Amino acid sequence: MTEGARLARPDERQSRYCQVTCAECGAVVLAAKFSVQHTSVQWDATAVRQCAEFARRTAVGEQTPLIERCTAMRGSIDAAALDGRLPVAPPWLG
Amino acid sequence: MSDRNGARSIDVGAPPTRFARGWHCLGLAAPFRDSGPHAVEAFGTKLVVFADASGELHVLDAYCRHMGGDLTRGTIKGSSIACPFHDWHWGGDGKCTKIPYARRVPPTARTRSWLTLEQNQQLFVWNDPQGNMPPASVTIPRIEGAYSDEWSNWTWDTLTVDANCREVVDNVVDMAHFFYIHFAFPTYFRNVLEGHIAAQYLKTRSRPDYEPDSGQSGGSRQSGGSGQSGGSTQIGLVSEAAYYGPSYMIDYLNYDYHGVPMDAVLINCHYPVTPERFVLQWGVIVKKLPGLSPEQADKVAAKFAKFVGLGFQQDVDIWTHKSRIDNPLLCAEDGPVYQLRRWYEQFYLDVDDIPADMVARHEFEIDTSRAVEAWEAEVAANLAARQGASQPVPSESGVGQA
Repeated sequence: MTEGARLARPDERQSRYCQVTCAECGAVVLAAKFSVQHTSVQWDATAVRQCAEFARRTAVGEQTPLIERCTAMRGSIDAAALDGRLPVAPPWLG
Repeated sequence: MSDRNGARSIDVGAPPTRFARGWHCLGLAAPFRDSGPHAVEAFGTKLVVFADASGELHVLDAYCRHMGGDLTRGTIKGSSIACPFHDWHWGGDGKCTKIPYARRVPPTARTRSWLTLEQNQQLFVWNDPQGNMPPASVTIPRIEGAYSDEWSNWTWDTLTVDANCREVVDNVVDMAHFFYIHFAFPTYFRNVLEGHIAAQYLKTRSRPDYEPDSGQSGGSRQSGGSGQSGGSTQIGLVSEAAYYGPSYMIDYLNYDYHGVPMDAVLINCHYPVTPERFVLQWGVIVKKLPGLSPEQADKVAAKFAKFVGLGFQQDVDIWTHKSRIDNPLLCAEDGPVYQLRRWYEQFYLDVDDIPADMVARHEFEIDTSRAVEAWEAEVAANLAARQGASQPVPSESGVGQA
């Protein structure tokens, strides 16, 4: 174990994250919307591998960290927010 | 983290006990080839940089393993650096190549040589507390403009900062400080953190209330963004920046220069000197506009670099007076500070100790709508105050805007 390693602290605002499944490829992420304009998405390695848009773009030489967003996932998150499956609310409960 | 009255406490934590794993830029390569040897204080020690007979740059620990002489005060002899104390010769690979007064070199005579890389006309060293080689995927990408006649030469500036280098890395997610520290007006701000890369997508408006040349070139400047300086001519700037590893950021920028879109690349990088000191460096190249001579293009780059430098000086003033804080108190309109620090922590862990979620993709797009509203009001108030102050002598607007 690395000497002096510290555990990463959690973001105190993370209570709002909910699962969202991409309508195009089925990749599952955790998303949060603190407001209509704000969006935060936590991917895991499986979801990044499963993402069809990332796959198309990495196939022609792009690196996923330099892809600003997957438009299909963004659409699925917006849809989830619109129909109430994903709450749009400030990060603090109560 | 709160006392009985609900007042929050600051957890100052402690700077890391080792230096980040990764490629660190030491500066433009060409000056290291001028005579030499050159000294660089970094990673808690002193390094010697020297060019061998073929011009290839090498980096070794500066202190001679014989009796501790300082090789940066020595002499380049052929492809070795010779110590000023007893003339022991050290090759670029760290092996002792010659001891003029000895029959043979001890077989164990080897010092630490640092893996180097030249990219974008800059010199890099690889730091790894575990002593491993960099994986092929972890490298410094090539910037095409740095190799093209259609672009200016690099500007290059440095500042030594008495703070832990996490302070500068935090900037990558800090939307609001761009308004207060860097004279920008962010309207769009998004981060993507994944693997060893931390990206920032930023759009800003100009700040007609801020004139970086105030008090210097008085009458030649008009208020309202048609002035000569890099700052006041930025009517809309689009920036795509990314850290490649812990310390080297490439920022591709497009900004308005006298009504013409200007492409620029800004390097923002640093290397640690000690856990509580680092050297901040920045460099700019701009794409030559049609009709601009190479000298004029260099001047445009210099102007932009000067504007960037004013912002960095204000950063440094903040960093050298602020508290280290491991538990920042965030509002909904702040960026992903905790997620960025989780990403940054990977460079301080042994490779096998990095948990999957530390390097997993995280996206965070800030809601800038409230900020834009507040800053529009602030800019308007600043302009109104200046208008009032400058009524008697309109050509002197901006002098005395405080």
